Amino acid sequence: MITSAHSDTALISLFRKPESREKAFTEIMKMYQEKLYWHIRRMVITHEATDDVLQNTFIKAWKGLDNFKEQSSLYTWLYRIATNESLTYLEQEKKNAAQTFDSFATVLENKIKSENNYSAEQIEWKLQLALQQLPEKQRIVFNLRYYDEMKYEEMSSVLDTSVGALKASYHHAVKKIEDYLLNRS
Amino acid sequence: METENSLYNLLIKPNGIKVAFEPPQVSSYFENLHEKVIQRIENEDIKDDLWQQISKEVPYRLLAEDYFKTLPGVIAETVIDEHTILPATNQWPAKVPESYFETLPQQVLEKARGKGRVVKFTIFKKLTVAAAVLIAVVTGWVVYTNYNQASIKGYNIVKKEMKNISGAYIDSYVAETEGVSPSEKIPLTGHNDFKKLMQSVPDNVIDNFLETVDKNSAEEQEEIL
Repeated sequence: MITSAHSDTALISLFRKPESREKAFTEIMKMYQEKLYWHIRRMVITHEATDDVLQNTFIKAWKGLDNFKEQSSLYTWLYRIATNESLTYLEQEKKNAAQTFDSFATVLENKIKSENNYSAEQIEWKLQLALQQLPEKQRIVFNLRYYDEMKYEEMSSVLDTSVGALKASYHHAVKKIEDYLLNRS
Repeated sequence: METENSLYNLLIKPNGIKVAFEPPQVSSYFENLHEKVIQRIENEDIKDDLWQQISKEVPYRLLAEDYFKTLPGVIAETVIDEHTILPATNQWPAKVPESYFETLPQQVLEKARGKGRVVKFTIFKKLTVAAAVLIAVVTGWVVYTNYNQASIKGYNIVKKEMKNISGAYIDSYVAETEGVSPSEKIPLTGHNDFKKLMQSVPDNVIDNFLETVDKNSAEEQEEIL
């Protein structure tokens, strides 16, 4: 059976050969695009922003894959790039939000409420609104654990944070979400 | 296992979220499940699967937390922290435009090719670039040489004038102080003395000097041009 790690190694070797470079990269994109898309979208909310950030993520991966040391898995490496790209995007958004009277959490909330199929009564949407109240780090940890079901050890590699700190972040995030869902939504 | 699955189904079926607010309907489920879970939790390898299943199927944490509190201490805490109950599904509720994922790889590849492109020159382009570089080098050299010559000439003029004026001033100083006792004379040696001497230079001498320099510079400049 070919595991993901094995196929990653094979794809990276193929990527490093000029004749199979594009084909290998297309396969890598097909393998990870949906997971990365949702990871980014949970951070930046709109499809348009997600599309930009995801394309930037893959272009950075294209440029950096030759020098990828394979000390971590390709999956966590891509998540790391996607997370950093999302944070860069959010920093820019924060600067823009600072020019208005709204808090950044309100800006993100409004983006959620303007989604086509938004429903104020639906629990999944309520959770999204609750998530926007969290600090970015807690939000990322919650998303990776809850939605991606990522192991803390892998998350530690993505976020460069100790497993203990990540567990604490997740715990705090959950408490806040619970408080929001029970008392404010 | 079959019984358990049917119990799970019972839990999911009554309208998902609503079930969380009606604990009496499912209390018997938990009573039964409790014993089964205690038995199975001792078998570590199935623990994660079981809790993940429960955590996804029970809509809210509170109901399950009460239940989990009845589990042995450490295990219960771990379970509550690791598998806190949130909405019944962990799917993001938004939509993706149709066929987005089918077209994305091609779009990215096109951009990536653009970023990593090696520019290929034809012979004609190579010659054009070579000619442009040659012109730039020659122009730079001519400008630099002229500037240098102008600078050297200007420097020589200033030096010459300085010598003339200083010489004239020292001559006049010596003449004026003729007969004055050595102790009253300003000594002409050393840096500080020279500074004092320069400070004592009358304004009109400086004006003359500057005028002369300006005039000579202008003439030199005309010659260069």
